[in-house]
Amino acid sequence: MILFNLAFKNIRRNFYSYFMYFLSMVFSILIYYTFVSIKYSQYALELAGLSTKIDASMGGASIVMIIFSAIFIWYSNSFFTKKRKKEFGLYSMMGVKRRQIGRMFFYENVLMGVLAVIGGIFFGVLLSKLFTMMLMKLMGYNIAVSFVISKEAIFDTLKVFSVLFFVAALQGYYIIYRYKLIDLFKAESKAEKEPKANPFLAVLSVIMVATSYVTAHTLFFMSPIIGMLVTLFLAISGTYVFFSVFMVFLMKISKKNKKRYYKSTKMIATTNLLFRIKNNSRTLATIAVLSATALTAIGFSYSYYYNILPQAKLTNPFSVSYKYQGEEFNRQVKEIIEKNGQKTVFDKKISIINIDADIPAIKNLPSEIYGDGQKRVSVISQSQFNQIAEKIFPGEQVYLDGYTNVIVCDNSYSTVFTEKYEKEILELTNGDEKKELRIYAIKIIQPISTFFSYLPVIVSDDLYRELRHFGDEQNIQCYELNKPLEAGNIIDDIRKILPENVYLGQYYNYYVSLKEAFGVMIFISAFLGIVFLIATGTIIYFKQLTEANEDWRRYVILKNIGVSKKQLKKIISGQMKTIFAVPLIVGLTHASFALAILVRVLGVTLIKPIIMTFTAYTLIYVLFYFLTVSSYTKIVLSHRN
Amino acid sequence: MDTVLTATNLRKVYGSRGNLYAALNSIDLEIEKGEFTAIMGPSGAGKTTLLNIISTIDFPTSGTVMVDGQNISKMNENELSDFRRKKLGFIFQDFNLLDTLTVKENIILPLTLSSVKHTDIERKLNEVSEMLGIKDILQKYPMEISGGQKQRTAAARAVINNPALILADEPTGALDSRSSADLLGCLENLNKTNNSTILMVTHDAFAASYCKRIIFIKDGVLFTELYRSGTRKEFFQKILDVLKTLGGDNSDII
Repeated sequence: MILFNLAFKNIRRNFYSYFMYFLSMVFSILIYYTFVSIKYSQYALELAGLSTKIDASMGGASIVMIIFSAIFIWYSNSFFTKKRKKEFGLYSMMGVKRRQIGRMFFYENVLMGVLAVIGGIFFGVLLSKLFTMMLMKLMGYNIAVSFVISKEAIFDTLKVFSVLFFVAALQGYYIIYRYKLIDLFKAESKAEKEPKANPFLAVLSVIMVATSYVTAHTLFFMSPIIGMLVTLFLAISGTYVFFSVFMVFLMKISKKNKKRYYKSTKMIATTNLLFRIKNNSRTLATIAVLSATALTAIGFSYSYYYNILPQAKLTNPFSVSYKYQGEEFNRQVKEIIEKNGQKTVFDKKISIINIDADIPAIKNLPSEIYGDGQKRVSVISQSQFNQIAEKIFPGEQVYLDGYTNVIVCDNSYSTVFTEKYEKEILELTNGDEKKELRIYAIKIIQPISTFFSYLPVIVSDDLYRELRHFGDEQNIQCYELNKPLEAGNIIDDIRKILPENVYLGQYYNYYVSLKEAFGVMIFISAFLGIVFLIATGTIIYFKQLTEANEDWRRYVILKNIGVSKKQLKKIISGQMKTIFAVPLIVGLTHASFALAILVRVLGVTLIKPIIMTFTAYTLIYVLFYFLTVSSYTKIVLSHRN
Repeated sequence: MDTVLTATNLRKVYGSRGNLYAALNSIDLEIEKGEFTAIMGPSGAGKTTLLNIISTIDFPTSGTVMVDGQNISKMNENELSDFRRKKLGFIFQDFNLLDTLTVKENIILPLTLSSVKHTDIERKLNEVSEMLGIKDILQKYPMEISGGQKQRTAAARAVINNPALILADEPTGALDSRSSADLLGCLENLNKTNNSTILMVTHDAFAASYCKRIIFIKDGVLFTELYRSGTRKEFFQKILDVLKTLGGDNSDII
C-alpha cells in the first residue's frame, strides 16, 4: 500500500509531463470508444433508417486505433521510464529493492491506465450521441439518434486498453529490472558530442525525396504497385535521412557565415538546435511521415466528399431520363414531379444517332473499355448539346468550326491513364459507307446517360442530318429538377409507372450511396487524423519540456551573463519554431504531392478542400507550438541559480 | 583614481515576519579601478549574498550599489540584463560554460549578444585567448578540456567585453591546486597588464593571497581589511592569522 501511495504521489508530482500524455490517451480511448459504439449500434441505426453497413469500416478504424495507441503508449512509456531512471537510482541507493521499485512503477502505470480508460469511456459515452449524429449528417441521413450507453462498446474498450496498459506497465517493470544501478545514475548525464553530418548523405536525402516526387508522377502511372512501393520507400527513408543528416548539415553550413552567425542570439539558437535536431531526428521524421499520411487521407476523403455531386453526374447528367415513351407518359411523369412539390428546370427530348465507329489511332474506343464492348459512338447535334450545356454544364457550349470537325465527350478521359486521341481521325461506318471526321477536342463530361449512349460525339447540325441514315436515331426524354437532391420519391414513383424493361437514368441514388460511403470515410479519416495530430503534437510537447528540465542550467547561465528575458524568449521560440515547423512543412509537402496524384487520377480540382484541410491541421499545430513555448519558457525562467 | 564599485549601507534580510535573519547588515564597500580584491569569511558570513547583490542577480533589502557610476538598484530587468552584459564579467565556481558551444564560441558569447562586428570579435578573441593561454583549445568543446582550462575559458569570457568589474565566485573551488595556481596567475596577470578590476569571493587563503586587498566579513558585517605588502608568502601568513581570529570554519583554512 505504501508503494501504491508513492505511485499516486509520483503521478501527482510529475503531472505536468504526464498531463499531455494523459490527455491524448483519454482522447484516443474516446475515439476508439466512438468507433466501436457505432459499430455495435449498427442494428439500432438500421432500425432508424440507415441502409448502409458501417460496422465493417468502424471495425477497421478501431483496429487502426489499437495499433496506433499501442505504439503511442509504448513510445511514451519507455520515454517516461528512461527520463526517471535517476529517480529510481535514488530509491535503489536508499535501499529500496528493485522489485519494489518495479512494482511501484507498475502501479503508477496501472493507475494512469485506469484513469485514462475511465476518462476516455466517460467522455466517449457523453459524446457518442453527438458523434453518431455527426456521422449520420455526413452520410446524408436525417435520422434521430438516441442516447445509448453501449455495454458491448464499453466492454470492448475496457478489454483492449486494459491489455495495452497492462503490457505497458510490464514493459516499465522490465526496464527498471534490467538496469544496473550505475546506469540508472548515468541516465541524464550522458555527454553530448557535436553531431556530424555527411554532406554526401545530406544531398542524397534531398535527392531521394525529390526522386520520390518524380516517381510518384511517372513510375506510378506505368506500374502502380512498383511505383507506389518505390515512391514510399524513397519518400520515407529520404525523410528520415533528411532530419538526421540534412538538417544538421544545413545548420553546420549556417555556422560558416560568421557575419550572420555571430549576430545577437543566432549563435546560441543555432547550436542548441543542432543538438536538439540530432536527438529528435527520428521523432521529427516519424511525425512528418505520420502528418503526411493523415493529411493525405483526410485531404483525399474530404476532396472526394466535396466532389460527390459532379462524380455522381459523370455517368448520369440528368435527375430523370428515359427512352422516349410518348407524350402521354411524359404527362404522367410531370404530374408525379409536381405532386412531389418540384419543378423541372430542364425538360427536353434529346435525339442521338448510334453509329458503328472507330478511331484507328488507338486500340480501343473509350466506350469499348468502360461500356458494353461495342465499337460505336452516339452522335448528338451541336444545337441539342448546347441546350443541355446551357442548363447542365454552364460554360461548356460548343461552336464547331467546319463541317468535319467533331468533339468527343469522354467522361473517363484523363491525361495520364488513357490513350490520347485528340486531333485524330474518327471513322464512321454504315456497311460499306465510310465517313472520316477529325476529333477537334475532347470534353470530360457526359451529356446523356451512359446507359442510353455509346461514346457521345458532338457534330454540327448539318452533319447530324446527313448522318441520320448511318444508324438508328433514338430519343431520350431528359428532366432536371429544381431540387435534384430531394428526388428520392419522384424516382420511386416514376419507376412504378415505367415499363419494366425501360431503364431510368438518374444520379440521385448514386449520389446518395457515394455520400454514405464517403461520409463514413471522412468521419473515420478525420478522427484518426486528429488522433495522429494530437498524439504527435503531444510527443513533441513532452520531449521539449523534458529538454527544458534538463537544459534550464544553460538558460540560467545566459541570464547570468546578461541575456535579457526578452532575448531568452526569442531564443526559445525560435528553437521551437524550427522543431515544429520543419516536420509540418515536410508533411505538408509530401501530402501535397500525394494529393496531386489524386487530382490527376480523379481529374477534378481539389484545391479548396485541400487548403481547408491543411489550414485546420496547421492551426492545431500552431496551438501546440504556443503551448510548448509558454510551458518551456515557464520552466526555464522558474530556475534562478 | 576612479571608483568602480560603491556599496552603501547594504542590508539583506531573509525570512518573513517573526523569523528574520540578516545575511548582510549595513555593509559599506568601495573598490577602485584596477584593484584585485578578495572577500573572505566563514560559511554563512554573507559573502555570496554580497556578491550576488553586486552581480545584480539578487536585490538588497535596503542600501544602494553603484557600479561605474550607475545605480543598479534603480534599474528594471531589461536594463539590468544590458548592464550585466556590458559592465560585468562573471567567473563561477562550476564554470557555467555552455556545453553546446565550442570554447571559442563560449568566450565570444557576450560580444555576439551585443552584436559586435565579427572582425572585432576575432581580434578580441585573439587577445584574450593568448593572455589566458587557451589558444590551442579554441575549437574544442567544454567536455573535451580539463577543469583548469574550463575556468580559464570562463575567465576569457568574463574579460572579453572589457567589463568595469569582474566578479568571481569561488573560482578555484572546483580545481586542483595546480590548476588553481595557474588560474590565479592568469587573473593576477589580467589585473596587471589589463588593469582589470577583479572582485573574488573565496574561502581559500591560498587563492586570496594572489589579491592586493582582502575584505573579511563575519555575520553580515565588515570585520577587517588587509592590504598586500611584501611577498605573497608573507601575505598568505597574515591571512591565516586573520582567519584564526575570525574563527568559524577552520577546516577550510589550509
